Amino acid sequence: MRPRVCTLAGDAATCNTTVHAEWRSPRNESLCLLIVDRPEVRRCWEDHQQGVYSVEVSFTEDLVVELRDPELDRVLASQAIAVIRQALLLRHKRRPPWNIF
Amino acid sequence: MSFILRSTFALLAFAAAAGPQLATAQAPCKAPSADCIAVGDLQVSLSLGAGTRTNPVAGRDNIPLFVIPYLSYYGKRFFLESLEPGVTLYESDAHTFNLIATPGFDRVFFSRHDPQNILLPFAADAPSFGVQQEEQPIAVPAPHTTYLAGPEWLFRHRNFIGQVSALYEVTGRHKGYEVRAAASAPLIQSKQSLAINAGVTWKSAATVDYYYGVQDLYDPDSALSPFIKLSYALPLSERWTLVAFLHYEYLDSSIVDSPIVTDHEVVTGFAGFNFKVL
Repeated sequence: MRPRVCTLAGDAATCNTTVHAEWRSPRNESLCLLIVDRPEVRRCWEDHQQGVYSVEVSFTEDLVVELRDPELDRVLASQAIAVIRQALLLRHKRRPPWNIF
Repeated sequence: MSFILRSTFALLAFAAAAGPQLATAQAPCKAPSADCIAVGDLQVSLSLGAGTRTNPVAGRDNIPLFVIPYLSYYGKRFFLESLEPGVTLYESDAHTFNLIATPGFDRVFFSRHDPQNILLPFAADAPSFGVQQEEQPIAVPAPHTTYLAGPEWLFRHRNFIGQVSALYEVTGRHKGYEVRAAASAPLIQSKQSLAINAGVTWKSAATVDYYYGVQDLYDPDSALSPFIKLSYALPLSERWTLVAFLHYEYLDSSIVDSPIVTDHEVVTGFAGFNFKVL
């Protein structure tokens, strides 16, 4: 799956990215790929040995992607996309009174 | 040892002596704000409004203020605030030591096209002869743009900020000195802000003579001129802020006694809206 990490720079609040997920199996599988807390994101395969799925998502917290059985009861595999906030280095501004502002 | 080196060491020594008493630092920067900026961040804004700066030089018009651009960039060490570049030698929450360069201010009274005069481009220069002394016209000088450089010390104690700079004219026009000292404190700190600044500017005789001296007629001494300033800001949205300021400077008699000066004070006022471009 990629990306594995989303870095928020400056005062950005939201990650906007395209998640690419790919699975393979030596035997035919029937399963579904979904994103936790995103019911609108679901892709299912029936009797496949591999599958590829891409979706654009926006998120502010870690995003968990899961492979589940067709009934969505059991989690077969999961991976997370971590959100990392880049630490801002801040400085005091001078603001000399001789200047207009 | 050069003036800049001597004054740097003097400020450092004074700060070392006074530092422990001023050691209660201002709150550290936690987020970008009017007082704090992210390293590497370029800020550009434009103030649009109406204002004026009175002109103490005889025969010269007051200077209108309509459009005031502002640029600010702070790197890890290097910074630029509009026309003032500088390098930070040391910074903590309580003290900052910079080396700065800044344009000589007084030229704004002699040339509308000085970079420190931001106005609409159709404003014209006043004529260069404007003073009569016993039926002999005195040529009002046309000083060049000058830059001064030197150390600057800023110290922060709770909400109080003080700054002192010792400057030397490095563009070779008059080789004079300036010492600037000021303190600021907030009067209102809520969604709107009102701050008061007070300070003095000392100019050496060479500096005063370059702008206000008259050959064979007036040879001035150094000048010590106090000022006070009120600044107001009310953010209206993410990009728009209502801004206003009033600045009053009382000129030393060394300047006022010049035959080309007719006012004892300079008053600058402006009110308008600041738009954050970047």
